[in-house]
Amino acid sequence: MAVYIDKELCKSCSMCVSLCPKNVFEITHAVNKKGYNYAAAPRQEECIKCKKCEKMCPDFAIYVE
Amino acid sequence: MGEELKINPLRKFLRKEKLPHFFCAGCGCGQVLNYYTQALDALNMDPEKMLHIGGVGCTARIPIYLKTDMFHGVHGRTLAWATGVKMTQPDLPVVIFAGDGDLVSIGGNHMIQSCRRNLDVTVVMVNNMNFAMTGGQVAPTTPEESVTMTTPYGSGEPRFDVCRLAMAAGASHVERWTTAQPVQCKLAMERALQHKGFSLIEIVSQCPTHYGRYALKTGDPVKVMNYIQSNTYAKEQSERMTDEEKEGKLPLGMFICEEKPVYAGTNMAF
Repeated sequence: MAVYIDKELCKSCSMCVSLCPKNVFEITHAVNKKGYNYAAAPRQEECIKCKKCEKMCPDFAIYVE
Repeated sequence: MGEELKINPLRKFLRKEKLPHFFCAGCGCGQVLNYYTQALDALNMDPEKMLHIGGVGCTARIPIYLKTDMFHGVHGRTLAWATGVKMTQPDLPVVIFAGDGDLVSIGGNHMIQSCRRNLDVTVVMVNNMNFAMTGGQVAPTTPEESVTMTTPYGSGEPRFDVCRLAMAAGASHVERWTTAQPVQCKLAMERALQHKGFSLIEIVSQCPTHYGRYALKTGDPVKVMNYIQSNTYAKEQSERMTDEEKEGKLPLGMFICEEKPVYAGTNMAF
């Protein structure tokens, strides 16, 4: 597992979904404590570790190992 | 999943109990906080030995989330405070986070005078092109013909070019980037933290909640970011572009970086 998402910090801005060059992320239908549909990374094997998501996430929710 | 969650190591700079932060989904202020912590990490600086100042506005909330000593309160007077702090503790690194409403509308005169004196502070100005915290009113930095809450038929005023103002007033380090350029923002902040003298880093940022909603009719932060990217150009390209292409767009890059005498109460030797 390479991409970690802290679901309690995610605000569902979907910036990671739009910016990821390999389309790793998607917004789930599950809801966190604050009421947002948080992002998940279902296609992690495609990740090339460019860390664009980690560097640009406004909420410090993503960590790429 | 059952696996242990690994968190972003840059969160060591943040106050755990304050997260998730107050910024809207997709706000550029959160990204600027991210770039700033990257710059602190790269320079191995300890924010607990620095002073951060924020005024009033969305951007001014950024230092609240850092583990640091900070001032937060009076609208537009961030640089007046910084001047007072620098008089008594000249070696303390002071970083100011201010929005466009804070720095160039209500605090405009403080900014000009601090540039003229070359006060040794770092100013990170997040320009989100409207007064976002109060509901998206027209600001001095709003692009011409933009629809905002208070200008339903489009703003009739030309926008402020803050970097040109700072250069004309005598600032010694001026750069402008956008939130869509993480590496450039981080490197600019590193240069600004190491620079001796007044450094102004203007970061043109997206406000999907207000500017996106009124002017661009979208709430998608990436669409607002694309709008910003299509309305800016690298300053190296300016010779190859015609005046028509440059009209209404902002140049990006490092405009000036020079060594000048720093203000310390008085520059005269006694």
